[in-house]
Amino acid sequence: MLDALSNPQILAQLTVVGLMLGALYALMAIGITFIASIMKLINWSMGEFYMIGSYVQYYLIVLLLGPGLWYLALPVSMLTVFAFGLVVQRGLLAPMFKYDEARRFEYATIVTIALSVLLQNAAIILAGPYQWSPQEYLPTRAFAGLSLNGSRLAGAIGAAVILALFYLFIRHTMVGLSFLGTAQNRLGAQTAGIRLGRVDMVAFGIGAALAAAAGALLAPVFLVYPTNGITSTVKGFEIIIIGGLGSLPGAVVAAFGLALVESFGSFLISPAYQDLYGFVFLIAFLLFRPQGLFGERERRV
Amino acid sequence: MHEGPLLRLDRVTKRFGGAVAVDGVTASFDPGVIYGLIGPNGSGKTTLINLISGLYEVDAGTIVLGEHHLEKRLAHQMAALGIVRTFQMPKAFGSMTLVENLLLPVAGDHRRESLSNQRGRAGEVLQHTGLDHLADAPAASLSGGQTMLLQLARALMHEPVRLLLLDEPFAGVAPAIKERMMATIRRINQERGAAVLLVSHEMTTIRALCERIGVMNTGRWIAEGPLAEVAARPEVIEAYLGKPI
Ligand SMILES: Nc1ncnc2c1ncn2[C@@H]1O[C@H](COP(=O)(O)OP(=O)(O)O)[C@@H](O)[C@H]1O
Ligand SMILES: [Mg+2]
Repeated sequence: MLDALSNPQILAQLTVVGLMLGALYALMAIGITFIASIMKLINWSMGEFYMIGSYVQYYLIVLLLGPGLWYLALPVSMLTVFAFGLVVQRGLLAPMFKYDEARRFEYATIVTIALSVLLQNAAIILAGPYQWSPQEYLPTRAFAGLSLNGSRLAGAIGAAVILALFYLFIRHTMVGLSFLGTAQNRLGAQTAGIRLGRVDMVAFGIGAALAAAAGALLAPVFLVYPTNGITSTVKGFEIIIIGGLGSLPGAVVAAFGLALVESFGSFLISPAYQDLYGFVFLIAFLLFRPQGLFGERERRV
Repeated sequence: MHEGPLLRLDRVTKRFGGAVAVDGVTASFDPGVIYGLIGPNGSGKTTLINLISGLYEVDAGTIVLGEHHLEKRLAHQMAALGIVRTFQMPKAFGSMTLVENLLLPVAGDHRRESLSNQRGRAGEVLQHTGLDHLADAPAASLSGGQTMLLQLARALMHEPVRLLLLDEPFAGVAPAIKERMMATIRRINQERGAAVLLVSHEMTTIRALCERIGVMNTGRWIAEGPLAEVAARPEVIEAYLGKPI
């Protein structure tokens, strides 16, 4: 098998498959790490925002827009989950932040775990235990001798556009600036006049919307069903552990790394264990660099 | 035109466990005056600053700025009222550039002014403080003294600034930067009409900057007035164990 890698065609194909998936993993991981960097909270219900995003996308395409307009369904799906994220943050998490200075993050984390179970069961009740899939977003095409799966290609392009917009928003707007400042030092930002309550709420909504985008873009690839968020959560966490919790560049680099490992592992060993390679990669990586790629030590006041 | 004091503290008390860090402090501060706050280590100066700026909640007593009660307000509400502070351990935003650091208060108060105007103002403030050559460098690359200076420069970007609280801003700062810090404090005081409360051990800087000083000892506010007058009082001399200040 290994000697097949000397074939540049195969090498290129595996690399392109890895890079396309990497962009989508980056979306999920950035969502998790963004929320973690602002709220210092691990959001265990991220996969369920992914799941809801995939359902909204699926139903919009099937019931309303038709398969040709998948790219219109995407922003609607993101906005829906963004709004839902605001409600969850304000209604369920913000109250946890009001009391007990020392343990609030633990309380809030437990709430996200409970929410995850609740949402999975709600999906089973509302949509049934079935697997759905929208039609392929684009036809599969050949390009320079490579075979490009249309849905994965569309997903990668969509993810790249969303990540670019996210970057511009964070780095070049005043609101983005208040997010950066809050991520670095909550108390310092608050003293400078930033309203942390509002930043937390919007950041949570944005993180949830990024997960929803991943779910919507991957709907034809990884399908739509009540527990489809579990795998994405696990991969998201693998990525942010490799990349270093709270590091946005780390999340991007690790997302591509994980996707490439999966792509090559599937070819060299067996596609049956695709979800395992990342885990093995993670363990191997942690042995050498326990703080992650761009891991930061916690900053304190 | 006298409008009465800007800030009034009435029997302000803060305990940590059994220890009383600030013990029934009653004092008032006029607008536009630079006050020094001195006292031995552990006398409660930092705690008092933290109470006024809303970092801690008072256990008893009232803090009133103009007509606003401050006891239950959060730090960002303090900023909106014009209370600006620096920290003893400077809080720069390391991975953000100096310009971005200065723009943060602007991001906080949703000012209706164009981003390019604000950037221009940030550039002017950096020039005034002599940090303009580092405008686009990450704040993490600054020395400790420069970081202190950056905190002061950021205070100039706040709107309004009615009260500036400075906790040991000169500790470990090189003389050249200290000069620029003092110039910036004077500018905030004169240009914005802000009252300043400056905690410092350095009597030379206190003497150079402050019109009046307050003295704390073991959590209590033991004297207030012009430096020469206060330094002559027996209870102040006693607090400093007989050493002249
Ligand atoms: N967060 C805190 N927890 C417990 N005790 C504190 C805390 N902050 C200050 N203290 C205590 O309160 C007293 C006053 O401290 P502080 O306000 O820092 O004094 P100063 O700034 O004048 O040196 C000290 O005895 C100090 O140990
Ligand atoms: Mg102190």
